[in-house]
Amino acid sequence: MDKKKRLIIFIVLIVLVLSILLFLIIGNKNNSKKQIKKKNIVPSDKSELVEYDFFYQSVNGDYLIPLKKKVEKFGDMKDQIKEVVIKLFEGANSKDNKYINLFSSKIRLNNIFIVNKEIAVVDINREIFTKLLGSSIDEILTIYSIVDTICFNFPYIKGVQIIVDGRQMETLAGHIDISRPLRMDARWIRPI
Amino acid sequence: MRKTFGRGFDSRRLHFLNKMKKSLKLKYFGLIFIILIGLGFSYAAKLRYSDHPDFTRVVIESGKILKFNISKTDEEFRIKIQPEAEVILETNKESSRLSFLGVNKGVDYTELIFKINNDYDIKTFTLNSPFRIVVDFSDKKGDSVKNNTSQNQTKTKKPKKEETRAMNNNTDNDNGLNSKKEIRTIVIDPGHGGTEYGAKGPSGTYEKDITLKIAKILKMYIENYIGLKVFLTRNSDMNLSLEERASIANNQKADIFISIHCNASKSRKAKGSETYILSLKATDKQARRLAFYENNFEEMKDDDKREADDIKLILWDMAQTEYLRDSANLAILIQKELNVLLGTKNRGIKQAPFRVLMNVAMPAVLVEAAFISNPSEEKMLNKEQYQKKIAYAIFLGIKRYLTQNR
Repeated sequence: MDKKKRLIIFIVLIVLVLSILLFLIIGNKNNSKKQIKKKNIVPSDKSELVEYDFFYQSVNGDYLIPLKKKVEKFGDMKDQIKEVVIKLFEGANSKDNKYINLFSSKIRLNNIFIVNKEIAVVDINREIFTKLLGSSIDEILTIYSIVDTICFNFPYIKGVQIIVDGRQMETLAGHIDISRPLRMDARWIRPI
Repeated sequence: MRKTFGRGFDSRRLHFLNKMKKSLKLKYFGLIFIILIGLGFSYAAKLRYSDHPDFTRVVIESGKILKFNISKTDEEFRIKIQPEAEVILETNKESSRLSFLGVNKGVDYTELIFKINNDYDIKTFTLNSPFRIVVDFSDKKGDSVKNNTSQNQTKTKKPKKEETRAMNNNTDNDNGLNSKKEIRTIVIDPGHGGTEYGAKGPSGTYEKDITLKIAKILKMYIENYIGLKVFLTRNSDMNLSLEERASIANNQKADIFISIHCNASKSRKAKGSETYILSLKATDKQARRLAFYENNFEEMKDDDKREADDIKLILWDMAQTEYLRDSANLAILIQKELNVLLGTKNRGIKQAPFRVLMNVAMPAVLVEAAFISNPSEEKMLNKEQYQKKIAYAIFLGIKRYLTQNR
């Protein structure tokens, strides 16, 4: 009887060990599949570049003027807008002295949310306050540089709301209402 | 066979058509008869009235042009309309200046009787499409107004330019928001203040100091030369939110709101003056709804509350939009004077969603006098003579606006 009992316990143990091993193997397979899937979501083809129009302040300080720049192509709309805004913050970096950089190198894009597929909520870090001069034209051109660049390049985006460190703001420097999404305003754009 | 069939078919069709014609004729006759009887006996005249800060507007609307006659005693005001009309009262609210007592019907007229609570200035005019008789009961303006109305009769005025435009546009201006109104109070808002310095010049001049100085000079000019009441949103170097500035103007029942600022740019070349009015681009209905949705997600579960709040939000945003035409007019006149007097670069009239202009219920502009970031303009802004020049240019613009609105 003891021998029989030992045999049964031995078989049960083997089954348990085998099932644990099987579970671990299957689990790993699933994880690896997930990782592959994730990789597929991120940039569709990093080598592919797309040209967009960016609006920077003109050297006379009156308006925004366009500059064509290339950015990496992303499959996801949100990621693509994010990439364009990051590129915008980098400044014009143009050889001709037609442009003035509205954003400092410390200004970072925290995140972008797309609401109802037509409103882009742009979350910027607090550095935006330090770079602003406190005047209306500077505030207007800073805001519309972002709004017009997004709305012009992504026509399905009907409005852009700027928030700072996740918080909705009334204004950036005491003038322009940013508590709600702003539509593109081409009146601030002039051809070169 | 075909012919017979054809004839048979045709005759049946003719018979049917004749029957139809007869019945239709009868129907039309009946209809025309009823309409003629209806028209011959009476029309419907819709009566409504609304209170505004300085006046109460009574409107009688009819599908047909009515003859009318007005009579007034100390306590009563009567409008006799011809031909006789069925009066439909569309307003449920009580008016602070008058109350509708009822109608007195004659053979070919209807007389509408109102009890008036005071001795008001009465202006009457008509609007078309649809035909409306408009009567404004304005509060007396002291000795400044010579009452043209005789004791028992008021003159009927021709519609003013704006009213004619409104008629052509077929818009209903009964709310009186675009009608000309005597300007008595002006609120001047010196931009920034306290810990909010505004822009800073290359040699350290703060925008908040210059705006206060210009505002004080402008106040003095308006009070001394035109004799209007002037309030400053801030009299000293203090913090004041944009909402507080707008609410000061609204509470003072100001007729004009002027916010004074100095500009600054990252470009040292930037110079000149510009005048802003509110831009409607920011108040897109859909965007506004969405912003509200995002901000009030918790409350959105209660549908009724959401709807009520949403409407409140939209109505509040309308505060300045109703006055945009007047604001643009005022901005043009001020900018013109700034160009002439200052002789600097004319940057023109621009529109942007300025928060301080959004919630003021009166013609409102924001003046960017000069560029504090431009070394030469900063130097000039610090000179009292230049501050006076700016103030005087704004003052002349206001003065021209007053003349236009008289």
